[in-house]
Amino acid sequence: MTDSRKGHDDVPVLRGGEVPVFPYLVLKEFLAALVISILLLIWSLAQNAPLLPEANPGKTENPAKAPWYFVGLQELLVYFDPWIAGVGIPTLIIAGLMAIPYLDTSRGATGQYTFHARRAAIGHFVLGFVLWWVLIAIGQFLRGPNWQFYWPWQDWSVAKSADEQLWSFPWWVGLPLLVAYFAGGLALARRRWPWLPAGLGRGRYRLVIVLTLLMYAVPIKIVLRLLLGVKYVLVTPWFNI
Amino acid sequence: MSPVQRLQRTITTSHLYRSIFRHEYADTARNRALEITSNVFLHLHPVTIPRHALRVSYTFCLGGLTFFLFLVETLTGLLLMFYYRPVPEYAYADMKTLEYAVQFGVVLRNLHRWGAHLMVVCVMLHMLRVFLTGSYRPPREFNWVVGVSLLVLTLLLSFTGYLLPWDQLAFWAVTVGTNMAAATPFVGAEGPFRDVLGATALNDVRFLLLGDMKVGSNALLRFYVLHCVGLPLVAVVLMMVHFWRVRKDGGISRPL
Amino acid sequence: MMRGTPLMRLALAILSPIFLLLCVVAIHSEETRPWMRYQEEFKTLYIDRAAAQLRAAEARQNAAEAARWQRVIAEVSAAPPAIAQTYLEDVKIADRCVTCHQGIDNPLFQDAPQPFRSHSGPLLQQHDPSRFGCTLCHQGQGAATTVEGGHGREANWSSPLLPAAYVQASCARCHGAVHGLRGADGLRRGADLFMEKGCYGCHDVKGITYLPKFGPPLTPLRSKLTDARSWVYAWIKDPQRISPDTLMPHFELDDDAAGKITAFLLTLPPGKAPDRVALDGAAPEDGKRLFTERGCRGCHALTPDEHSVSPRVPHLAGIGSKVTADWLDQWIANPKTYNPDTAMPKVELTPDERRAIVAYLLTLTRAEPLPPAPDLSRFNPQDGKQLIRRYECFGCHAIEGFERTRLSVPDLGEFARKPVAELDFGRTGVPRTKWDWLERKLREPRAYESEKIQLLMPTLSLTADERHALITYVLAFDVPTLPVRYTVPATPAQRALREQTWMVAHLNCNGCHRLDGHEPHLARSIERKNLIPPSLEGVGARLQGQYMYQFLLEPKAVRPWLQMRMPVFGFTEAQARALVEGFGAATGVSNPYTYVAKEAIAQEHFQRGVRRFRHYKCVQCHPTSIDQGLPEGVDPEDLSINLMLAKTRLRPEWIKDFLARPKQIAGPQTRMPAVFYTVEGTPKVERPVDDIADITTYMMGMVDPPEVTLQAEEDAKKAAQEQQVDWSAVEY
Repeated sequence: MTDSRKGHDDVPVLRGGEVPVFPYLVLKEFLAALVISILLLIWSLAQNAPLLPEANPGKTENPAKAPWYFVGLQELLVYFDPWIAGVGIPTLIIAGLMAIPYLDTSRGATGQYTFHARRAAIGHFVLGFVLWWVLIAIGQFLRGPNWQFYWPWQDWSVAKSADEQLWSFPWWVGLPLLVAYFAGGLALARRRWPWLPAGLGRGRYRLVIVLTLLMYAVPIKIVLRLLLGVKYVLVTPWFNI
Repeated sequence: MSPVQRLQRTITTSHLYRSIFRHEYADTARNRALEITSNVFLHLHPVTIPRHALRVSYTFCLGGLTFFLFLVETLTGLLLMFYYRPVPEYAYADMKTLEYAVQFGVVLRNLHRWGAHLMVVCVMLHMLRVFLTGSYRPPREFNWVVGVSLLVLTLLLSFTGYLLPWDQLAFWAVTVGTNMAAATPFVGAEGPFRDVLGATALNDVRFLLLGDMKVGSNALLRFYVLHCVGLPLVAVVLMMVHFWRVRKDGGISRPL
Repeated sequence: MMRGTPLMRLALAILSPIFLLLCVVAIHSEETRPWMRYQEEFKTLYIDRAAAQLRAAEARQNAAEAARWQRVIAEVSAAPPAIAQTYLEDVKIADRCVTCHQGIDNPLFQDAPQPFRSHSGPLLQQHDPSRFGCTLCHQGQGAATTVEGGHGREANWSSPLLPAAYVQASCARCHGAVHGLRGADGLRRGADLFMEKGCYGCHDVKGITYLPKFGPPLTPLRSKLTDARSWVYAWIKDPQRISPDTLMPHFELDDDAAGKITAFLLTLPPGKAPDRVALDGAAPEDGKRLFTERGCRGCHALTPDEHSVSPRVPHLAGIGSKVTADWLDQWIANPKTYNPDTAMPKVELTPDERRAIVAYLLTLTRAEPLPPAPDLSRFNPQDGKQLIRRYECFGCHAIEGFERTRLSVPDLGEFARKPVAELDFGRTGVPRTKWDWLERKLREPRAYESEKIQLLMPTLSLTADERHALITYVLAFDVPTLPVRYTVPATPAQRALREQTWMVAHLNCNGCHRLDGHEPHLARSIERKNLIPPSLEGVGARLQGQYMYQFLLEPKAVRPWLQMRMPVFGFTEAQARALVEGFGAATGVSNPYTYVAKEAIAQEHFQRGVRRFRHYKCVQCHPTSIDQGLPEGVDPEDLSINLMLAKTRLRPEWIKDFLARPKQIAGPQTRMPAVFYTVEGTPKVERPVDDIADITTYMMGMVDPPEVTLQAEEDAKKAAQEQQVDWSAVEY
């Protein structure tokens, strides 16, 4: 029993606007697998996986780099303490990602690519995504011995001096600053986009703003460190930020 | 009928063929449906899907590619397991054996390594695509959570596998990574508030990961078991949930 | 039958062949590995050679051998390419070298091109490859099956293949001893050179820290030199100008540095001044004669055009301008008062003789005087002390204030174990291996200098061979831990041989004694051969161990016609023992100590020995008196050693050997005639073996001179004969 209606790409369209999965979807999946296999095989035949000398606990690699997908976090170690860069930020990223469906109450523009309908969401997400990859690129390609900054054309055997003058905000500056950042952010967003707290509801609104502010706090701290030499924004006897 | 067609008919109506496939070969609507419903691997799919779901430029098959790469990794990993012993005395020597003495050892290892990298890239691109198409909206919220868990698992699978060559790159990368774990608050020997629960180098989360205070034979074995058995099992379970939910939520998302 | 849209079918039609092509490429690259090519080449060569053997066997009509070669050809032709591996279980090394080096143990391939040539020398028979593999000795990466990989020239492999010149460095991995080890001559030479050149003065090496400092002590300098200021300054600046063969290196110090060091050295307390010596009446001509007669010439060179006998022995040209007469007299009388660690022995001289020698030596003045030293008062002696600390002069010289200072120069063992990545190659283009680094360093010690790093090692003069030997020696310190099964500890004999080698070199035994094929230095200044001390060739087989031991500790005259006597070196008992056992080990004698039981002297052999001794007229040349006096009327040139001494002195095995083949045992210059055999070995007498054995037995039991013995025998016989018939008791 063949069907008469054909779509513009020769796929027969059945009643209800649907198309048979076999063979069309299955073939497309097979072709996709074939393409990626070819890619993988070419790569595997052309380039060998690296193998360095045998593990030697007595000889540290310098620089000792984490795998590339974690090297972005290792880069963050320059700007944050290990418990933030290695534990805090990853946890926040994972928790934040998981929370997205529950924080996004808008229902428009589902199932299609769009930018104008979801400017804020896509903008923030893509920015975060890009930031993740930029950190990876810096950590993987622009960091040399002792995690000093080296342009790709610079020689790694030439040592770079590690001293930089850093200072921290005193706690009576840092704490109010942090409070102002979050409280101010919440207040300003409410003023600027009044539909936001209305649409999200009070709890969600605070969570969304705080998480967004946390995400942007990372590049802000990086800029503070690079331009002004700020080591810590908040200094307490138990932890520093 | 041409000889090819005659041969085709002989094969596809034979006892053997019918006992395996249980439906006819001819390209009828009924057979198309039966191909899907009577196949344990394919019956994840519905028999028909909306037209737009066929467009490659919608999903780029990224989810499927990630799963395919998982299968590639499983197969190449299995073959590599025949030649690799997760013990510091043998690990590196086995890598050399694979490179020089095992037939197809080089290409097997390369497939495994680059396949892993590709899988990480694919899974991140898949996440980006799902976000961009808003495909986490109800009823698919929990599937997104499962997906993020799978992302974490992929990274952990890659990380545990990274140690196994037991070369300088592996050893120090894992040292750096696990040192960061020691900085966890409360349960890390070098994190803030470590005294609250009494976390020392002998009982903190880093020790849990490594089985020792340093990266050594315990860490290697532990990571090997996690990499080959523990994490894949969890990943398989989560993938089952993930694929099942895609189907139950109505397939690929579409404009409402 | 065609499923899918045309576009999909097109994509499939394009991508599938590409994928299959890639699979074929992967399989092809696996089937054309480089080692397979080598194995095919080997197969061809092997079949060729086996076929030649087959033809030769057929020509000789040897059916069994021909069949064997047929079988070999059939097997080799049918063998598929396969990776060959030796796996050493306890060291977990997999050596796959034999995959390409397939002819390594095949005698047919002795002249084959590499990589198929068989292993040279007998080493492979002594070191079964299935127990030792290849990389334990040759290093490199055994696990690899490519040329670059197997030879270890990969970025991730830290020990590349040892060049053939240095391969003996690996002997030290298992063997505790290097002296007395067959096949380790290069390594032994390196070890000996390291000691001879005095490298151990600066470079610590585990196991050589027992040696005293071999340079003269610097503290009492002022009591020794006539013009300490000028001499010390000139010497420090350029030692080779004053004494070209000296071991003192040229440190390339500038004027200021030399001045500061001199200033400091002159502040050291010289200790008790030597007693005044009265030289009136001492004739330099007597001294000159005595200098040669008493053997001083064996160690010391005198004229500026002569080379030093040994770099460790001072050249005496210009000695008259250097030292004071008082010091010289005290020195010759008892060297150890000035320098307890000196190698100079105490020579037996009367005070008059000594003064004559002093007077003579004082006439050996420098042709041109030394340039005067600059004014040292502007230098701070403490700066000099700092420089001494920096250049570590105290490594070779005893200096007050530095008795306990430790050397900071790198320990060579640590250097050998350093990974290559940690070596500083400076701005030289030296290839990045340890041996290339060392080669350059030994040729040009300051080659790796830079603005930040200043190097202090002085230049040495070494031939290329000496450099190779030293590099082998240094590399030998990189000893990984191997299971006990592999280690061969040094036997006591080998340890003794090592010390003996060192002492012989250090004390310059070859100055007076023939040794190791070298003529004694004395031979150049003394014409009459029998006035030269005895040769030490094979002395370990010749002398009884306990005799040598006592002699070394307290020499007693054995050859009364010699004018010179063995001087007293002041050996410790351990040193004497090492010399005895070392000499024994050098000649393959495992136990140099001898004991001849009285029961072994069978009476009838003894008696026959006496008679043969008289028959062959040994006393014509050899005195056999108890008091060891010279027989009158005999030219000393024609005399030989008193044979009464043989029983305590000589090993009976050696006596037998010597009597049979005197020229081979004692050298062609011996005057002992070939009595029992000709030089070629044919017997000259009726019963040579019995004669030799009995004469040896006699000598081992000789108590009285032979005439006395024979006389006593005659008397006894007569008495026996006379006693035979008692006529008075006979009844007629």
